[in-house]
Amino acid sequence: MNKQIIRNELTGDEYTYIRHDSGLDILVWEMEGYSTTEALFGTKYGSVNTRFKTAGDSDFTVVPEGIAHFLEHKLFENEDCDAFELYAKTGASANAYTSFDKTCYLFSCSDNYRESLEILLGFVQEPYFTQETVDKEQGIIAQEIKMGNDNPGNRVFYNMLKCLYHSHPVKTDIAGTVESIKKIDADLLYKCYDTFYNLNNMVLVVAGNVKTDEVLEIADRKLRKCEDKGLQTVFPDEPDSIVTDRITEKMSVGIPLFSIGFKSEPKTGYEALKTELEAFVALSVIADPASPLYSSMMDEGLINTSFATEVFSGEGYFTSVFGGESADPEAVFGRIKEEISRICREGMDRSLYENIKKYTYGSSVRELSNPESVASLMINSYFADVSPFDSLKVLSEMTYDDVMNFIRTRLDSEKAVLSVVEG
Amino acid sequence: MSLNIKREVIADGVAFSEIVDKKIKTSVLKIKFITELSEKDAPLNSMAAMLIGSSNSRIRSYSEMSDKLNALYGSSLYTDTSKSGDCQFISFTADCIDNRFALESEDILGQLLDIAHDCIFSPNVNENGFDSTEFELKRRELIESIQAEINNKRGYALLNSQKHIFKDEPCSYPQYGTVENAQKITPQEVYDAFRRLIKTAVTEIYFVSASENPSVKERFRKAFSAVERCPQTPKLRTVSPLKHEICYASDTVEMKQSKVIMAFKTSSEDRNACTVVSRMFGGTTFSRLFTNVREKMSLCYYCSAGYIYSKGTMLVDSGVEKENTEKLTAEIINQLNALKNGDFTDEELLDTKLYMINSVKSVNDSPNQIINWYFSSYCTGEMLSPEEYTERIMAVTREEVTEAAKSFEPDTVYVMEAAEGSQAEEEDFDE
Repeated sequence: MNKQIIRNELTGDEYTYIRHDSGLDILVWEMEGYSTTEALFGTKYGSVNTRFKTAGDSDFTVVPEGIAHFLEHKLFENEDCDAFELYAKTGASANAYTSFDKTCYLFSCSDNYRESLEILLGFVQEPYFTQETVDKEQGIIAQEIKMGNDNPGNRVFYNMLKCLYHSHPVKTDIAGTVESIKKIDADLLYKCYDTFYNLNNMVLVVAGNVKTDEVLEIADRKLRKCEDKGLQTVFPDEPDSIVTDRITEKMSVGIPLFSIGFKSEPKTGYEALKTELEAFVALSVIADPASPLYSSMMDEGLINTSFATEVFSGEGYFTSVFGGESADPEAVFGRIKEEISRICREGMDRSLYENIKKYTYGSSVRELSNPESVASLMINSYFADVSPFDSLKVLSEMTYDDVMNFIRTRLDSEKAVLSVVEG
Repeated sequence: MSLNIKREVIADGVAFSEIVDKKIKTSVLKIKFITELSEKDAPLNSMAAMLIGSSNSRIRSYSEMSDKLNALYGSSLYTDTSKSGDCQFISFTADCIDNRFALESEDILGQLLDIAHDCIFSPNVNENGFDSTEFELKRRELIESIQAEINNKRGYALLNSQKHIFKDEPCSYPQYGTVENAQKITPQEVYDAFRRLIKTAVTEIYFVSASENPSVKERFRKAFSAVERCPQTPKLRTVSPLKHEICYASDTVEMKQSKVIMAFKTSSEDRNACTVVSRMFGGTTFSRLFTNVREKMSLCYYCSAGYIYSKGTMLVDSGVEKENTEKLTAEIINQLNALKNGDFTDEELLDTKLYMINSVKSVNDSPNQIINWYFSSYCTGEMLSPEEYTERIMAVTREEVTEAAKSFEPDTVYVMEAAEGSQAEEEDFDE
C-alpha cells in the first residue's frame, strides 16, 4: 500500500492519497471541527462510454444509450433488500448520480460513518440483476426521462450538443431514451458492470469528520482485489466541424430559452484544467454582469439575469456555452459573436480581467469550504487526472495573453451553434 | 458540536444573532424581513428586494456592483422573497471568503459590509422613488419571471395547486403578482413599500463568521436607531381550514408527464409527530411512497411528501403517466391509511427518526445551514438548538405518530394533465 500526504500551503489544507492493494485509489480529507462525513465511491464510467473492450475481448462491445445510468439505478438492489434499507439503519442520507463521464455512489452522515462506509463498499461490489427487476426499473426510468424531456433547460442544452457533435455520444441524453432503455437486459448490465466496476477503474473519496486509518481498516476488510483487465474505451471519430448551426424546438414555455455553444479541441489532464480555467475567465470577461456586453444587452431588453456562461468539457469534447432566456435569441447570438470579434481586435479590459481572476480564485477557495464540496472536488479532480489544488496553481500562473489566446483560437464563429426552445 | 449563538434585540422588533465558528472559510450576513403576505404589497416587496440587491446610492448600477463584488474575490450579494404560511419573507444576503485568504491583504468583509449597509440604508433612489433606469430593468425581470414560471413544470404545478389548496387565504396570493399589475407599478410605490418594510417588518439579522466582529452588530444598532420603527408582528402560523368536500381541480399543459399534487390537512398541534409522519410517508428513500409507489409499482420517478407546519398541511408531489393518475392517487391514500391504522414497524419509525436527526446534526457545517436552522426555529416560536430538536424527535412515540397520521384529512387533489405537442424542428443531421 502506497500512502502520501498532499498539502496546499496557501490554504493550509491537506488530504491523504492511498494506492490500496486491491487496485483502488483512496483519497481521505480529514476536516477538523466538521460533523458531516461525505463519501463517494465512483467509477470512470458515464453515458459517453458506449463502446469498449478489455484485453481479453477480441471485439469492441457497443451498448444501448443510457445503460450506465440504468446500471446505477439497479446496483442499489441486491438479492435480499436494497441499499436504502441498509442505510436506514445508520441514518445516512444516500444517493447516486450518473454524468457524462462517471457514476458515483455517495452518502452523507453525521453519525455511524464506518457502518455506512461498509454498506457503500459492500453493495457497489455486489451486483444482482434479474430480468424481472430490470423490467420493473424501466417504468421508473421512463418517468425520469419524460420528466427531463419536459424540462426546457435540458432540451435546449441537449439540442445544442446535437448540433455541435456528429458522432460523439455526448450528444445523447445521459438517461438514454424510452426506446433505448428497452434494449437493456440483465446480461448487458453484467457485461458493463464487470468491465467498468473494476477497482482499478474506480476511486473512493471521503471528506469531513473521518479518520484515514479507520477508512483503511474498512477498505482492507471490504475490498476484493481486482486484476487490471486493460480496459479500453473508444469514441467514434469526431470532426472539428459542427453539424448545423441552428435548431429550434417548440414547447410550452413562457419565454424562449437559448443555448449558444462554441466547439473547440478537447484536451486531457492538467492541460484540460488549464484550458477550462482560461475558458471560465474568458467567458466571464465577455459576458459577466460586469461586462459591457451584458450591460448593453440588459439595457436593450435582450437578456435577463438568467443569462450565464458555462464551460462544458470532458473526454473528447470541449464547448464554451452562453445560455439564458430571451425574446430574441438570434440577436443575442449575433451580439456575442460581435463582442468576441471586438475583443480579438482591441483586447480585454485589464481591470475587468483582473477582477474576474480574483472572482475565480474566490470560487476555488469556496470549493474547499465544506465536506460536500471538498468530496465533490476530489472525485472530479481524480477522474480528470489532476490534483484538487491544481486550480489554485493554474490561476496563479495564468496570464492576460493566455486568456486572449483562448478567445482568439477557441471561440470560432464558424463552430458556433444556436439552440432555441420556444412556445 | 454545539455552536454558541448570541441573539440580541438591537431595535424595536429587530434582533441580531451572531455565530462565530473558526473552522469556516466564508462569512455570511443575512437579513430577514418578515411581513404579512398582502396581495397588493407582495409584488412591490419582491420588486424592492430585486432593486436593493443590485445597486445603492454609491454603486448605482448592477454592472458596477458586479465589478466591485468580483474584485472582492467573488463576494456575493443577493436577495430573494419567499412565502411561509400567510407571511412573506424578504431576505438580503451578503457573503464572502474570509479575509485570511485575501491575496493582497484586503479587508474583504469590511468592504462588503459597507456595500451591504448602503443597499439597505442608502438605496439607489431620487425624489421619485427608486432610480428609474434600474427600476425599468427590474420591472422587466419581474414580468419575465412571471412568464417563465411555466418553464419549470414541477414548480408550476405546485404554484397552481396552491390556488385551490389555500383558496381565499393570503398564502394563495402570487408573490410576484400578475404581468398586468407589474406593468402599472411605479418607482415611488416600490420605494414606499420598501420604507414600510424597514419601518414595520419584524427583522432578524444573522451574521456568521470565523472570528468575533462586535462592530457589525453596533453598526446595525446605530443604523436602525435612525429609523422610526413601528413593528407589526405577523402571525407566523395560520392553520388552513379543511374543506367540507375534497376539491378536485385540474389544468392541462403541453408536456409529457402529468403532475399530481395532493393536500392533506390537520389541526394537530403536535409538530414533531406530524413531521415524523410526513417523513415516514414520503420523506426518505425508504418511505412508504418511495418504496411502494416508485420501487414496487414503478409508477413514478418522484413521489414525495412534505409537512408545512405554518399551514398545518401535508403536500404530496409527484409526476406520473397520464393514464396512471387514478392508480397513483388511490395508492397514496392506501399508504396514508396504513400509517393511520398503525400498520408500521417500530424499526420503520426508528429509522425515520435516525434519518431526520442525521441531517440536523450536520447543520453546523455551513453558515447558510446554521442561519436556516435558527430562522426556522424562530418561525416555529421555539428557539431550539439542533441537539434539543434531536431529543424531541427521538422522544416521539408510536402512539403519537398514529394519532398525528389520523389527524390528516384529504383536502385537495390537483392534477396538471399532460397534453402532447412538443417536437424539435430537426435540421439535416449527417449521422
